Amino acid sequence: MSEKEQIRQQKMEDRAAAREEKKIVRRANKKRRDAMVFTLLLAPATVAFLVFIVWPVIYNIYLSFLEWNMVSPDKEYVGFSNYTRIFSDAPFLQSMKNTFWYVVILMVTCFVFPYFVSFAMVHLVDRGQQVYRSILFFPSLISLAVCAVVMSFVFNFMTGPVNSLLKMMGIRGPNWLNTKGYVILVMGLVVTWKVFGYNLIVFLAAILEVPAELIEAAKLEKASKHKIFWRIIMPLTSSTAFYVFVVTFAHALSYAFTPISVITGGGPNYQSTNMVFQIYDYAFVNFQSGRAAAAAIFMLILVMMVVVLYQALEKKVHYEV
Amino acid sequence: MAENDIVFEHVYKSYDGKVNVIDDLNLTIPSGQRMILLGPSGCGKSTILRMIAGLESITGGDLYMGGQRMNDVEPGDRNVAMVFQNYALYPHMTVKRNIQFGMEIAKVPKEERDKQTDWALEILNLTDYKDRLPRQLSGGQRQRVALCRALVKKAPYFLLDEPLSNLDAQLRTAARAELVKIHEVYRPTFIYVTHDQIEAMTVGERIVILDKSIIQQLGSPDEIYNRPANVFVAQFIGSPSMNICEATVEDGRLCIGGESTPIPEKWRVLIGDRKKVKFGIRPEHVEFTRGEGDFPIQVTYMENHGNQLVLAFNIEGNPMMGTLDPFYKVEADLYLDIKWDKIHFFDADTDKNVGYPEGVASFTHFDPSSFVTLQK
Amino acid sequence: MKSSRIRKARHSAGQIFWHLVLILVVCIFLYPFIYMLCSSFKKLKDIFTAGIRLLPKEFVTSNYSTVLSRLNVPLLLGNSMFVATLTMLVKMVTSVLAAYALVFVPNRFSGKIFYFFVITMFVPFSVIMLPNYLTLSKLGLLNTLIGVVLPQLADATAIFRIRQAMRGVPKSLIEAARIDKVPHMTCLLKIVMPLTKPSIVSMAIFLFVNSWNEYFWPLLILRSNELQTITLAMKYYTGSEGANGWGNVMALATMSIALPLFLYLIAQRSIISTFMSSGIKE
Repeated sequence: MSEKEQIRQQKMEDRAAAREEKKIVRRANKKRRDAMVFTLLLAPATVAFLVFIVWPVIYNIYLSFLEWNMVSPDKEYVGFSNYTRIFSDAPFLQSMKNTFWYVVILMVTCFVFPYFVSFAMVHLVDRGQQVYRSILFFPSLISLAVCAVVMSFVFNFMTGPVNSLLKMMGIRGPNWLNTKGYVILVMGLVVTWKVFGYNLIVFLAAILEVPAELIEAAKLEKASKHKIFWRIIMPLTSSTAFYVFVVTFAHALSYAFTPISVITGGGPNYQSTNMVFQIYDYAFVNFQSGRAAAAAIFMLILVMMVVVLYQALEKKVHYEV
Repeated sequence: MAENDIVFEHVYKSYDGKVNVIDDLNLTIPSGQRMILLGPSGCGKSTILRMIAGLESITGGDLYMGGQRMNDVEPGDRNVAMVFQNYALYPHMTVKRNIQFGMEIAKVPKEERDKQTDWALEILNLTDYKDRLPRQLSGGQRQRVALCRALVKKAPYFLLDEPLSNLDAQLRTAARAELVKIHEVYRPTFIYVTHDQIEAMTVGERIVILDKSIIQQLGSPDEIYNRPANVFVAQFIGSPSMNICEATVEDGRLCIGGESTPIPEKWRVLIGDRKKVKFGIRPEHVEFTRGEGDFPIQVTYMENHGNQLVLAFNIEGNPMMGTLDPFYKVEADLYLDIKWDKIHFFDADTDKNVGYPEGVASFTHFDPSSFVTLQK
Repeated sequence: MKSSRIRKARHSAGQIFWHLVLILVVCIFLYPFIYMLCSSFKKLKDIFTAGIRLLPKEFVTSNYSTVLSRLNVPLLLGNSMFVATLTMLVKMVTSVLAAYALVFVPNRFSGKIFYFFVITMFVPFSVIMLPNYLTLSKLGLLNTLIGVVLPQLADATAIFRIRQAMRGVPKSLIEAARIDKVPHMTCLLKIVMPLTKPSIVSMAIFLFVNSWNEYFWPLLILRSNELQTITLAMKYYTGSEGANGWGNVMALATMSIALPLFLYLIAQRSIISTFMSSGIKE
């Protein structure tokens, strides 16, 4: 090759190499830009969560080891004594028992019941699903405080319609809001009114996803509705059911706070209080931040245990349709 | 087993009270036969099948199965076995439990259940898959599980809703043979819905062709193929489909455009006074002559498929197709030679077949179902 | 394979029975609401003696006039409106941005960050309430409406649902736009949001109503009368009225749920379907 051609060849190769490099740089720039955009877009939410959820958890753990009335500059380190104190504190122990019952009641009314009702709406009746679900979801958008007040009137010992109805049937209705046991039932019903609708539509969605052909095949085998529910619907909606169970459990631990705060204040004699209300009591009535924090951490542990259990078992229940 | 006939008498069905999706259906499905409901999408064949199963309600008319009126009988009480298009296997149950599900409901004792299950698995070559879950199976295997499940019921009525449509083309051939084999096991009444004419022709003993919920023809595969009742049937069966061409009749001559050819006496009788007709020739019955013949043609397109030569041509502007020997030499100056015993005539207005003269379109000796039985 | 509605022959007895059961359930759920509504129009004596009768013997509006004269209802509604609107807007902005990034901006941390967001949904309020209260106290935001909004700048449920809706948008649309050098913000505003409008609107309404109905946090933060939200007022007013104020309390209750009810009536289809879309868990 002549020299001129050699030079031209070299120039072409140089230019090709330069183009390649540019491409790589552009790709790296794009990646960097994407990463920047990603960070920018997620920053607000992430910062909000870090500042108002993550950091408070950590600070709460810190508080649980102190004795502090939230105002004075002295913070006394007391080790685990907050934890031991709350477990020997009668109101708190009672609130734990009550919380247990709240969970039980809510599991029945907000897990078992909507499961069944949604099944009925899809497979036991042939029409009206939209109407039923619209009406039943509506209470979920009403404030729990309003619901609590209304229910306190409905269950009023003397003048409430519930006791009036019972009177008509010859039964003497109890003093719902002032009797141990019954008061938890009423509080539970208040929370049910709010939570039921939401769980209902989650179950509805899951049941509607079970293919119609499976149900038809079962009907051809003369399977009763009962068998269809237990043998087919339940296994195939179990992953959703599991999720609802966990979420309802987490909520059941705390939702009763509002009706307690609005109606009973925890009474009579701590018979309706729940753990959250006690935490509120510790912190904002008695200014015992350490105990409040310790009780809160206890609740956190309970919830996290259930969540971890869910993660572990979730894999096993999911059936690919 | 004539007592297991299925009879539709003046059955109609409407979803909204205004439009009848099925109108005045009168159909008898003799027991023990493989009956195909064939037609394009939306023709109502699946609806009819589901009415037999009880999964669709009947608005009016009567459905009799085995002599009893079944309109209001629950699906579970009709003693019907069904194979669904998407197999409807319970994803959370093993193959074995899927098959046994019906028997469990019926409280059949475990030993008997296992025996029946093994028997069915054996017939369909699935014994090794007994403990697998549906998601671990291929499409073809799932379909066979669905067949097992239907088989163990030993029901007199065996319904299939496009069972092969989700399978690959290759699997379908083997599956078709398997279906016939299953039928031979105890000869239930097979009612088989499909839009695939090859399935219909090979599996079916009798075919009902439907279009827009109206029965176009009911007959054996041979009748349907060689004596289509109308243009719709003629064009639906056969691939490539039959060439249908409009023509006029003048002075006993068949005229297309400027060309004409005399019509033999035997056909003139059937065509009668009609001035316009439609005639049909299947591509495989198309024959050409060089130099002179009935109608000159212009070849527009050719495809050599290896096993046959597909030719697209025009007669006076009317497009037609022919399939010929792959080695046929296409040259200029070709004429269509009408084979008067391979032609079909239809009324130009009603599309109905005018009929066949004595000796024409007589039944061939080929019986598809016998061929498959021999294969056993 | 989606629809599971089965056509049934009319099996009168069975169907009617279950319809009755469902109607009974519906009645039980609607009863408190109707009781509240009717009682708000009853004279006090009527409420006490009505037993199970719902309709007023005599239809009066005096309860409403009493409440309106004793409480500054417009102020209460205004406070609720301010808090709910601001909370909704802030949450929507942060959630939409976050959801978009998680779905359309490729990044190896997307999964982990989303997981982190979901976990925050399970942290009980009682754990964070004290520290957040102290934070607000330090910022001097106790007893302010802003103080109610501040800890609620983001909502994991909203991110979850909006992300779900955005996943329904074909990625190829965005990729095509990106090849044409369209910046992400424009993609979000001009492509993704119009296509997910129903979900976004219903989520916004849901967040608004939730904030309107909020009780616990406003209870802790708001002390003075001028700053009460109408939901909070329910508690204080009920306490202060005592037995003689039942009718008034019911009137206040009705007024407080008027707006959420209205929003629900116009958006219920959309809200329900947003929560029913498949993929409850990721």
